[in-house]
Amino acid sequence: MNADETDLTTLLDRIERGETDLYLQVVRRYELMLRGYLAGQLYNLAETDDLAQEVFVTAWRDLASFKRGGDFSAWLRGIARNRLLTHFRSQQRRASAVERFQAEVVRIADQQLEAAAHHDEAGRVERLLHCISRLPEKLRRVVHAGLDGARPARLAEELQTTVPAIYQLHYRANQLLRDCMTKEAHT
Amino acid sequence: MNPDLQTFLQAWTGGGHVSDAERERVLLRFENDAAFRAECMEEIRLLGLIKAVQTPPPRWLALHDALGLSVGTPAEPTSADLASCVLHLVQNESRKIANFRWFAWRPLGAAAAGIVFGMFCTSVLFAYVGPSLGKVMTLLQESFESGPAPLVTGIPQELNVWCGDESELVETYEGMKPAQGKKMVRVLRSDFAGRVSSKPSQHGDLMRVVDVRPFLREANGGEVVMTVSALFNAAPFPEAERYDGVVTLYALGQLGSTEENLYEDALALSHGECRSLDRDPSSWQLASTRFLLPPGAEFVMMKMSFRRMPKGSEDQSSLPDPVIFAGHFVDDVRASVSIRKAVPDHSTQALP
Repeated sequence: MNADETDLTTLLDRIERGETDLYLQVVRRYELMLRGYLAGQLYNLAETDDLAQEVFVTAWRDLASFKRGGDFSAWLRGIARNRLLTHFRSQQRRASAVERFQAEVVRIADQQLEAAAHHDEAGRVERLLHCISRLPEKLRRVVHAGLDGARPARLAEELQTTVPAIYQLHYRANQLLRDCMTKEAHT
Repeated sequence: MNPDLQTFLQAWTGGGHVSDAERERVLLRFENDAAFRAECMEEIRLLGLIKAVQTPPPRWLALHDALGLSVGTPAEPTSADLASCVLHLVQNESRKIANFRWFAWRPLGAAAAGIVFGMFCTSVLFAYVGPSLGKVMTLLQESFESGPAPLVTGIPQELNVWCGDESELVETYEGMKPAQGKKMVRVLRSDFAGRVSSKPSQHGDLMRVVDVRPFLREANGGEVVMTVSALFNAAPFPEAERYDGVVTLYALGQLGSTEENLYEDALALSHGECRSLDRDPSSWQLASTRFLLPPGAEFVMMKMSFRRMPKGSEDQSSLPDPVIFAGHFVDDVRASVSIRKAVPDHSTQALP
C-alpha cells in the first residue's frame, strides 16, 4: 500500500469505529474525481451532483464491503456506473434527445470510459486548472462558458461568431489544455 | 475539427442543433469506428472534468442527513480544495463589476500547512450558504469623511483602525471626484516607511480589522457570512500597465499577524477582484467578496488593494518593487454580516 492508501485505510477504520464526520474527508478527497467522471457522461451538472451524492451515500452504507487497500476511486466509479445506468433507465420515457444520446454513448463505451478514468494520472485536476489559467483570454472565456444548452449560442452572439465556431474554439482550447497538462506532468 | 466530431459534441452537450438523422449517423460511427470513438471519449471526458472543476461541489445535504451530521461539519482540506483555490486564479475575465465569490471555511490545520483554500463559485449557480440568511447587519460604511487618515504602518495591530501602505486622504485629484462624499483614499505606494519583509511588494494595501465574536455568539452555532465591497478608481495610466482592484477577507483567531505570517495565520480567506481597471477616471469599479466565518475566528481583516500586474510581454519579476501608484483611489468601503442562527435539533431532545 502506498501512503495515500494507508492514510485512507486509517481513515476508513476510524469511520467504522464511529468517527462519522471523517467520511466528509473521504468525500472531499474524491468529489472532484467523481463529479468529473460523471460529468464526462452526463454533462448536466445538477444531475451530476445529484448522482455523485447518491454514490457517496451508497458508498457510506456499503463501506464495510470495500476491501482495504483496494482502489477506492475505482470502487466509487463502480457504484457510479450502476447509478448512471439506473438513471438512464429511469429517464428513458421522458428523456430528451440529448439524454437519449448520452445514454447510448454510455451503453456503447461504458467499459472504455471506466478504463480511461482508471488510467488518469494523479494531479490531473490541478494541472487542468493551471492550464486553463494559461489559455488565451478568448479561449478561456469559451471554456468558462461551457457548451451546454443555450450557452454556445449566447457566447456566439457576444463574440459575434457562430455556434459551430464556438465548438471549434472549445476544441482548440481542449487541445491546448491536453498539451499543457502533458507538459506539466513531465516537468 | 472533424465535422463528425463536432456533430457528436453538439448532440452530446445539447448546445447546438443536430437533426435526428445526424445524431443516428454519428452514433453509428461512434459504435463502429474505434478511432472516432476514442477521439469523442477524450473530448467528452475533458469537457466533463472542465465543468466539474469550474464549479464548487454541492453542500451534500442528503449525505449529511445520511451521516447524521449537520451541514457545515468540517472536513480536512484536500487536493480538491487546492483545486478550488487554484481556480480563483484562473477566473480572469475583466469586468466593470467584479463577481461575488463564496468561500467556505476550512480548519486551521490546512492554513498552517500554507494552503489557502476555499470553495468559491460564481454568484448565481452555487452558494455555500443560501442567499437568504436571517439577519443582516451593517458593519461598516466608510467613505473616509470624518476619521483620521489611514496609518501607514502595514498590517493593523488594533481593531477598527485603517492601516496599510503609504496613502493619503484627498478630496479631488486632477478632476477626479470621490465616489461618495468629499473624500477618498489615495494609495501612493506598495509599501510604507519601516516595512520589514523579505517578500516583494506589488500591492498597495488599505486594511482594517474588526471583531466578529459578537456575531458568532449571536449565531449560537449557526452561520455568519461576512461581505465586503469597495470601489476602485485610477487616473489614466500608461496603456502598457495593468492594475487590479482587490478586496480580501482574512479570518483570524487572534491579532498580531505580520506580513510574513498572515497567510499562515488565516483560518480562511476569500477575495474578489476587479481585474484590469479601466483608464477612465469617471468610472468607479466595484470589487466584492464574502465568506462563511469559520469556527475559531475572532477577528476579520478586510484588505483593499491595488495590484500591479504584468501586461503583454512583462513578467512578474520585471515589475517595480515597490510600486509607486500615480493616481489610484479607494472609496465607499462597505462591510456587513448575515447571521443565521442554528436551528435547534428537536430530534435529540429528550422525550417528556
